[in-house]
Amino acid sequence: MAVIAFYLIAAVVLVSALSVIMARNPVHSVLWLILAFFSSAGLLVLIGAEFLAMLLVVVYVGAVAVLFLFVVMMLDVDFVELKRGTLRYWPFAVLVGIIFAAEIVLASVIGTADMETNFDASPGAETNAEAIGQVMYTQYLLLFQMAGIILLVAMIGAIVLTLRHRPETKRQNIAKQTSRRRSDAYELKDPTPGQGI
Amino acid sequence: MDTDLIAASVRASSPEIIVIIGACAALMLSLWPHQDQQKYLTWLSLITILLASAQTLQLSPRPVNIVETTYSGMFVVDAFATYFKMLLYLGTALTILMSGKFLQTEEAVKGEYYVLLLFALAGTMIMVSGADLLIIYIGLELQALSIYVLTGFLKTRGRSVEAALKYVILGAFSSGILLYGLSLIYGLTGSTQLGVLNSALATADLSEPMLILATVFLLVGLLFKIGAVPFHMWVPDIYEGAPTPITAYLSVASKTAAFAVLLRVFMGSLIGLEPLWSSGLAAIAVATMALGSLVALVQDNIKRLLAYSSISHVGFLLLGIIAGTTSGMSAILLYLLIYTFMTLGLFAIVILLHRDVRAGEPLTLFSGLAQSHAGLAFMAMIFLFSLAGIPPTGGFFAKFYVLVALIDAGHVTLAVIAVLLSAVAAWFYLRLIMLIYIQPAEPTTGSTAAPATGPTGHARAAILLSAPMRLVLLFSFSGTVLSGIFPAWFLAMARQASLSGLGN
Repeated sequence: MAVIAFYLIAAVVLVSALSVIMARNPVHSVLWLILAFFSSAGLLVLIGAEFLAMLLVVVYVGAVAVLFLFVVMMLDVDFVELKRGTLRYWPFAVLVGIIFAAEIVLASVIGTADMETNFDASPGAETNAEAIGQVMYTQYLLLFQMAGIILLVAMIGAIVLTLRHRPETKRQNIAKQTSRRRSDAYELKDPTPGQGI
Repeated sequence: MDTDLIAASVRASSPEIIVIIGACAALMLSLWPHQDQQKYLTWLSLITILLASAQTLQLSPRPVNIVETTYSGMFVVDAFATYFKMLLYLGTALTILMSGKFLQTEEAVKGEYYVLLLFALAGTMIMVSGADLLIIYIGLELQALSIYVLTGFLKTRGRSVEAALKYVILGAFSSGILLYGLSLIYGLTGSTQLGVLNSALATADLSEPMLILATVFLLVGLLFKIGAVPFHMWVPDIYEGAPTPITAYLSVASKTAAFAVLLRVFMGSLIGLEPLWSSGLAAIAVATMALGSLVALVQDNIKRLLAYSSISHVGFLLLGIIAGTTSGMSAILLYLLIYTFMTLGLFAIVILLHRDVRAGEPLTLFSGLAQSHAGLAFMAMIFLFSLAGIPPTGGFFAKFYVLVALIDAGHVTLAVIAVLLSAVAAWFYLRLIMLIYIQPAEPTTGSTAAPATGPTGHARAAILLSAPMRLVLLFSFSGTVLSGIFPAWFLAMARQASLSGLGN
């Protein structure tokens, strides 16, 4: 039963992932992406990692993909024009894809390797969330902290690359206005007659 | 893992913590508008690096073969990591020193530049200390993400932005390949820890296709990061487009850290699989040297030329891995140190001669340098001799010890090929020296180059020769010369580091 469910969901993941890059309309692409995330969450439920599945739905579907959707809908980019050039590279891409797929299929068909099949998503704990909670701040402390630093760097990077100070815009500087003194504006001169300044 | 273990782990990783705290402090400082802000940031970054290096030396294991693993086996402090960290401090500090004036001429003075460089340093430090494939990957990404942003730092310049975009896409692609290999390794052995992998793979069946696939993916992912042929195509474009100090950083520190990972993974954990990768790696090394040296002959941009030169150096370094012995490894370690000196020195001179990003960096920048600046010309000549591997300089001994290790391991044919190809490579370094000494200074012809009344390129060099730049040149010049005069002392250091047995 689980095997059938696995192949069914895995097929949906593959088809929707392919559709993401094949879809003509970028909005459809994002919708396919959401389907791909959903089905991956299904795969995670199948191996008993229900907490990860929930995170995937909440974070990726709920936030990331919806943000993508907004961006795609807001941006006025002519995607048809963008994609026109890619047609030239299709044969090469297909060739590389086939080679990759053949390698992997070959390896898994001929292979006798014993992949770790008895996978336990929640070792030593009742639930998946509890199992993660036990190791996240202890065994994987360093990984967790470094991942946080990567997010910080991503944030700094995004700001550095997009923040622009535009010198041509005229902004009101209230502090400067109110702190203006009479001596900044006037200059008293006492010219002698017939000489000028 | 109880609190004592966590305390011990935090202590072992204190240099990284110092660097990250320093980066955060620099981030705060960069919010403080002040006319001397850049000076303070430079000082803060340098002090951070100095503190971290003091802490690294204090933690360095004595005797050298002691290996301390912490964070449940993810993080290792051994002589190998200590050596590489010192090398990274050197590369980053010199990069910071040579950045100041460059940013001013490009009008891109921003505190985040220093912040991101420090974060990149932290990432590379994690890479060289990582004893787990996951933490190595995380360190790699931290480093790469910071460098992506720094590559596109001159955001008003098309070339810089284009290079950043290319780097992001290809970097993500190579990370994907690396992760795929990593997950296959995890599937086959049930662990990502290097020590566990070593014992699990010692008895593995080498004809197992899944294992071959995993090894190939892992190797390809890492070769991408060091820019070996056929995964080199990103190198010239990104070297050309990135701000010159970042190009220097890329060719030195990024490459050093990636080599540390390559050594730790392939000469440590996957040494049992050597029959799988050694012949392929030999072919890649030869192809890398050949392509790097031959394509460099026809370059007319100095940064592209240095990109191809670094590709050919990577090929030479890979030979040390093929030798597969401790002496091969110490030869690589020595090579990376000398390479840091000579490359950073040459890049510092390129920055000095730099006029404007729009004008690019044609080779003719160097022409007639001997007439206008005899001292700079002499230094450039020594760096170029060293890069070419001509005897009295450090570069000769770097290559020499790799060749010795290679011949000791019985790869005489490879050694002969390497010597022949480095003779080809010597040609384009000599061509530059010829430009410096024989060609008269070219009047600035390009329309976008300095206006007729403005200072010409070489006159600008005198203006730019500031105290930090002098320090960079002094460091790299004395490093290049001293390693040529006392190679044994430097080699002893490298040998000590490679004796630690890679933490397995």
